[in-house]
Amino acid sequence: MTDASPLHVLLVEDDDDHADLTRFALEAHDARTRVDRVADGDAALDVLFRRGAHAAAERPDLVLLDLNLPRRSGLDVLEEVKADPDLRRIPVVVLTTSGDETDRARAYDRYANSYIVKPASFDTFQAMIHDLGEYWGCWNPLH
Amino acid sequence: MRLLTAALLSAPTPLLVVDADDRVGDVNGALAAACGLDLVGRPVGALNVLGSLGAAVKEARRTGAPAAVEDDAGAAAGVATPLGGGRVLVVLPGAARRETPETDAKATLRESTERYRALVASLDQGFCVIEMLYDGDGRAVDYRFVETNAAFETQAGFGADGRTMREIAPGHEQRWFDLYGDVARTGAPARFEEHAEAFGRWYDVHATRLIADGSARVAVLFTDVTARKQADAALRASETQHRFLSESLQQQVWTALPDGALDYVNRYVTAYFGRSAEAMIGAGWQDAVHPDDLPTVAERWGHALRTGEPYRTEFRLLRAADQTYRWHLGRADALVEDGRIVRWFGANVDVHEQTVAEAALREREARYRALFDSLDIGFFIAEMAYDADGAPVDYRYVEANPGFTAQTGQADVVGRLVSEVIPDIEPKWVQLFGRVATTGEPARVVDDAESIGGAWFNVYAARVGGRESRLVAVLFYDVSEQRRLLAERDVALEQLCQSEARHRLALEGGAMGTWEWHIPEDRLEGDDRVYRLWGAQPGDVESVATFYARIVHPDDLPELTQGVARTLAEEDNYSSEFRIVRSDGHVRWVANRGRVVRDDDGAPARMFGLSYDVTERREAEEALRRTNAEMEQFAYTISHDLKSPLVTITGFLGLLKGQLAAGRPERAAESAERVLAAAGRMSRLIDDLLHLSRAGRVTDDPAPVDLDAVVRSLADAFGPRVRAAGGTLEVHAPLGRVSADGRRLGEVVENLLANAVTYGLGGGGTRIVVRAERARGRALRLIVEDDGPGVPEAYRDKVFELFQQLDGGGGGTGVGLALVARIMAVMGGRAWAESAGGPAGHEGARFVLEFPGAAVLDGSPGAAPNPLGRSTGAGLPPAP
Repeated sequence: MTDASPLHVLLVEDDDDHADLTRFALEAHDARTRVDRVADGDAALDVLFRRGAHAAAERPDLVLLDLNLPRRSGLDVLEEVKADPDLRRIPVVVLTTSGDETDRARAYDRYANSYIVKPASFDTFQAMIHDLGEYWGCWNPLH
Repeated sequence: MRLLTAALLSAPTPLLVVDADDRVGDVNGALAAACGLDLVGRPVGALNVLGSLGAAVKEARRTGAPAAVEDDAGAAAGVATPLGGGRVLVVLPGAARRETPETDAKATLRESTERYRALVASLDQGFCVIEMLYDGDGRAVDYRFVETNAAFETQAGFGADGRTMREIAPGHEQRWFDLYGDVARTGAPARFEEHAEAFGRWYDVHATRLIADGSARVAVLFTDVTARKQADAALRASETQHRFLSESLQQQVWTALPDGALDYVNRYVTAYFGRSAEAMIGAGWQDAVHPDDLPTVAERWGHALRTGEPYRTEFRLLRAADQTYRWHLGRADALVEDGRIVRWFGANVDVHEQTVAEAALREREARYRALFDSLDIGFFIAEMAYDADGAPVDYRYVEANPGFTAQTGQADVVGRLVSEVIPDIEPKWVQLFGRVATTGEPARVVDDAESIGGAWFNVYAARVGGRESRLVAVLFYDVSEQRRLLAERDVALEQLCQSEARHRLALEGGAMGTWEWHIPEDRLEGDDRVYRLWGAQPGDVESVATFYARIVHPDDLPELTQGVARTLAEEDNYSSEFRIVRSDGHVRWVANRGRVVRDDDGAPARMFGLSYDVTERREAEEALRRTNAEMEQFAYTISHDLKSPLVTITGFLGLLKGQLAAGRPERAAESAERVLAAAGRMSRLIDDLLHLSRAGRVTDDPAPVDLDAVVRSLADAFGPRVRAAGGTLEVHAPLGRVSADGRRLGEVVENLLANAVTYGLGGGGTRIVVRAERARGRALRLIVEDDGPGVPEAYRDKVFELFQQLDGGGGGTGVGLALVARIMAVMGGRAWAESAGGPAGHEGARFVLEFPGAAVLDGSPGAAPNPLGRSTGAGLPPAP
């Protein structure tokens, strides 16, 4: 698999169970993967923009972003990230339960790098996260 | 038509009129003179002078257009033009006649007397020498035969024997003596043909004086030409006539030798060409022919010369006087003797005016015909037929266009009576056309014709020709469809009026008004109700545009204006709904329904209509629209939030499987807990959603609800949870009484208490307070507040939306506050969140339920309205 340095992922997910599942899947892919998790949109922006308590936060290699978030929505987060010249190169993968076409279109309209619907099967979920890690671990030019 | 005919009959061009019965009705002088026959009354078919005459007459009648008449050789000889009434005018510029040879008057005798002498003996012609005898006055009165030759007696028919002529024939014509006397006296030779009654013979005579010294002797060489003269007699008579006619018709007449060289031209030729006869005969005529026509002329003339066939052509000849080319009809026929062409007799007839006029006529006719043929409108010309009393009883189709067939389904009607074509034709049509023919007054009617499938026709009829004309031109088209539409409109108008009446009865309160807009004058009239509806006075409407601009909501004005313009331009029905802002600031929705009445030109004349208030309907529609939007959002969020625990359940079951296989029971138990928790959350979510869906429905009938009782009961139930969270719950009675659905109200308070426990106490707060206060009017507010972290201002509305949680769950389902808002709205009240006013970090959340004054019952706290709308806390004893 990967000879590259381990992937640093920012996971924006309000649901604890989903966050754990995603973390397990990423670690199963590569045990060295570093996963930082925040539970709402405001916290995600604080980390990315290094604000307040997160002033010393490291920039992640990849953002996994849920859409239905407390406070600021995932789409709002996406829009702000992609509007920022420093942050817009960080790949943002939308990871959501919503298969709604409108959501998908809105995400891509805001320059999401990928849009993934959370599957109802754990195996599929794991395979998907594996592919995700593989792809962004190898091909992210910023990494 | 009669006048026209009379005028034509006086024309110098030969022409005749064929009556409807195919017999010659009239012949003008020019033609009578030309043919020398009385043609009147003869059947056209019997006039074999022109082969195609009969056919041309038929053709002209059939098409209603001029038809060409051709002669036996196929050349154009004239034109047959329909006059109406079956009569046809035939113009024959080519003068239907046969030219015949004229006598060779130009031959001369050149032989000398001496040579006669030598020859006479051997001649088979008669020869004699006579000596003139004179009376006392010197006039030749007789002559004596001095010498005769052997053939004399045969040719003369008598023997001379030295006698004088008067001895032989005492009654011999004096002119003979005069003729010979002139020859003897003048010495000029003479050649003549003369008849001698005494001998019953014609003689061709050459006479010449024998001696130049004044002698009275004359040598005479003669031939008996009686047989030839008799044979030529009829033709000779015709020839005389032809000459006369050719002069009177001002035609160019000429003769030519068998090789085509002219040897005679009449004075009209010389006048036209501007040359002497000698110049014409010497130089010919071809240089005067239009260059474009010359090849054809030369070809036909050459063909005629070679074959002896008649020469016919139309060509342009240069008129010397004004140097213009004029169209001529040229023709020539050969005189054949003993199988040999002896001479050509020809004539050129100026047909310029006719040709040009004919071409123009043809073009015009073709244009009109094309027009009528292309129109879908029916067109025909009827020739009226009358009974003995002069009443119209029938008509005959003289002409009909293709549209006639399209409109009536009847084809090939020309020449037939309407009584044959449409046997049950209504008398009204015959009478109408008869009246038009009689009075000359055009008529336009719209009427039905049962006889033509019950269709309705728009008919225009006008007389063709003058007072005596029986011809009526009729334009007509089927208007059944238009009538049907008109009838529909009438019904619609009727319905509009009826519905207006119905609504007036139903809405006696005056919400519906009627108005009428006089469009050209831009004057709007309305009834009292409409002015009340508009919130205006009759005098307020100076023009419709400015009136609307004043009263209609600015957002609705453009669409309204465009709709009116569109209706005026292309539609009849007008319908719009818009908001009116009354002078008191009230906004009402108004529906306008109108109908345009147009004048004959289709221009809008008036619009009349109804206006009525549709505010309630529009508000209901708006509520419905909001509900639909909410439902959409509801379905979306449900799909998302129900799916969320499902992802958890399947995910951890997958993990669980692997953990069991790997022999890690403690991790497996942990995963199982997660699955159970997610399933429980899902169950609660479904319960909450059920509650929410019920909350939107019609609730139990409102009944008096004692808020103190409701809250006290709930406070007991929440006691353990509050204590477990390390906080207190205070209820500041009395809270008051409202008219409401008690069960739903209980759900509302329960949700607010649960919210306060979860987020207030759960967020670090220690105290929950439930109290009441009076608001503006009779409205009552029930307040639940805590001293937890509070709701940031930006999210105070959002928290009432479905599945909107400020944190990642915290045990709530995201339905509770949505349920609160929904139930309060259904009860006519509202709910909102605000800050409880605590210090930063512990601002506290305050949730307010406001019950409308109408629902508040006596006995509620703070019966006197608080002008500030804020509780002072007075009269509200602190909870224990």
